[in-house]
Amino acid sequence: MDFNHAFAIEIVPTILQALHTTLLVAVLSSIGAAAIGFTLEVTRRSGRLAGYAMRFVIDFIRSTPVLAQLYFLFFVLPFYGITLPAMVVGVLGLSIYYSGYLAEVFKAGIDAIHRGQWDAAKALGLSGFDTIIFVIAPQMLRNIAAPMGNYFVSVLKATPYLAVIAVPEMLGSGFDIASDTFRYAEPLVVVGIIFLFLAISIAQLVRLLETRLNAAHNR
Amino acid sequence: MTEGLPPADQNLAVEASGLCKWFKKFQALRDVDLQVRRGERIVICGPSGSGKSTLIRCLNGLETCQQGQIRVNGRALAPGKNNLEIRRSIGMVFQSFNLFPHLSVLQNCTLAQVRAQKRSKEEAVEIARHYLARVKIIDQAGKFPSQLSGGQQQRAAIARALCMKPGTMLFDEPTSALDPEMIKEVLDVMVSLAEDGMTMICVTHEMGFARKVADRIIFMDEGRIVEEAPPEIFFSSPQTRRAQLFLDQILSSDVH
Ligand SMILES: Nc1ncnc2c1ncn2[C@@H]1O[C@H](COP(=O)(O)OP(=O)(O)OP(=O)(O)O)[C@@H](O)[C@H]1O
Ligand SMILES: [Mg+2]
Repeated sequence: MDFNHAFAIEIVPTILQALHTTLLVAVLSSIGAAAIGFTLEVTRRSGRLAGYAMRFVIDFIRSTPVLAQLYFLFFVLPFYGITLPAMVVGVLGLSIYYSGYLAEVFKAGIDAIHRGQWDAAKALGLSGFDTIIFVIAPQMLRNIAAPMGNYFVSVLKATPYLAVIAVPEMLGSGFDIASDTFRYAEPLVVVGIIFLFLAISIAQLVRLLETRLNAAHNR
Repeated sequence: MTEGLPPADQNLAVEASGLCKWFKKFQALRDVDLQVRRGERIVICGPSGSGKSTLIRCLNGLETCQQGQIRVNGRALAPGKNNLEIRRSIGMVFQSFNLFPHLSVLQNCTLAQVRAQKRSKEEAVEIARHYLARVKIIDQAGKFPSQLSGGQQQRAAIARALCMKPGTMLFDEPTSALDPEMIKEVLDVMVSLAEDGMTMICVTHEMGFARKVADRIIFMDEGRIVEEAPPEIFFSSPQTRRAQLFLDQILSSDVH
């Protein structure tokens, strides 16, 4: 089977139509995963009981397959009267799954902050919430920009899972072309190149963020 | 939670009675009583590990003690609670400065004013600039902590605490992390605060400072207050052997 360049170029517009879905899912899921993961980690630190509970939740999320979580949200929740659009289920599923990993990253980022920062915030009479938002979170972000970026790339690469719940993302649309035309190489290569391009862009954005945070921090 | 303390006395800034504090099995404070009058300057000294930091960290609730009561400006410190109001009325300065590294010096000084005291941004900046001028680093206001010398950082930390307009200031070895040539600029600020009548509780081994400003020296050893006396008495005739030994060490190392 020869690789047909003309065909590859011809299918680009069709595949790009699914690009915005992939991007939307990836961005929303990354934001969702960061928000949930940060909440999990901050709650985990808030007390002994909450600590055990959140530890369990984080481990549970991380040790069940992402597909199982997606299927659960999509097929089981409706039995309990909760029917959500596929796109929402997809974003929710990826957010929850990656929140478990990001919680761990945030933990490392917060652990690396000097204890004196908490002392100073407390001594100034800042509330716990203000301390987290204005003192801890910015320093944490600086500590973890790189590993957090890696997980954002992982989220992007996990978007094709959503094909199983019929979200029209990029790999799925490439595969539709493949099954219609019996040509597999071209759609897969085109999709692969677009993913590569997106992943590199995310990595660059994260690097930019990292330098900016460092700049503010150091001089 | 105020049993063990006499009725609130308006002349007292800080009262502690029967403080006991354990870290796991280790007892760091043993039945410590302390009364500090408004405007009084206390210097706490003692060997490493004697519980000086633990004591002053208990006074603003950074540590909770398992036994004993603390009252600040007549208000009891509630164990395990947030005690935000009390914390806002006591300033604290740390050995390691603990400035917020991601904020400029000015932002370090305005954050808690805006978030905790609910002052307007403009008012907070004005107050911050006032105190930064007072500690003589107004020209560094826009810089980040990492761009300052140690002495400048500590003065910024003092200004940050003063911005909350506290009635009492706690200092935990504020000059111990500084190079000798920077110690004086920090001590000068502390002396001027003392001259203005600030209530001060300072853990320090700067005996020159202690002689100059302290109303009372408290000597701690193994979690206890072992001696308590005005500086002229403490330095010339310490009552205990422990204090004598400690002074010999401190004063002989001061020469170098
Ligand atoms: N967070 C903690 N966990 C366990 N033990 C602690 C903790 N903080 C202090 N201690 C112990 O309590 C004792 C008193 O410590 P503290 O820091 O109050 O001493 P210090 O008088 O301030 O000494 P230094 O002059 O070295 O600062 C020490 O033996 C120390 O090891
Ligand atoms: Mg200490």
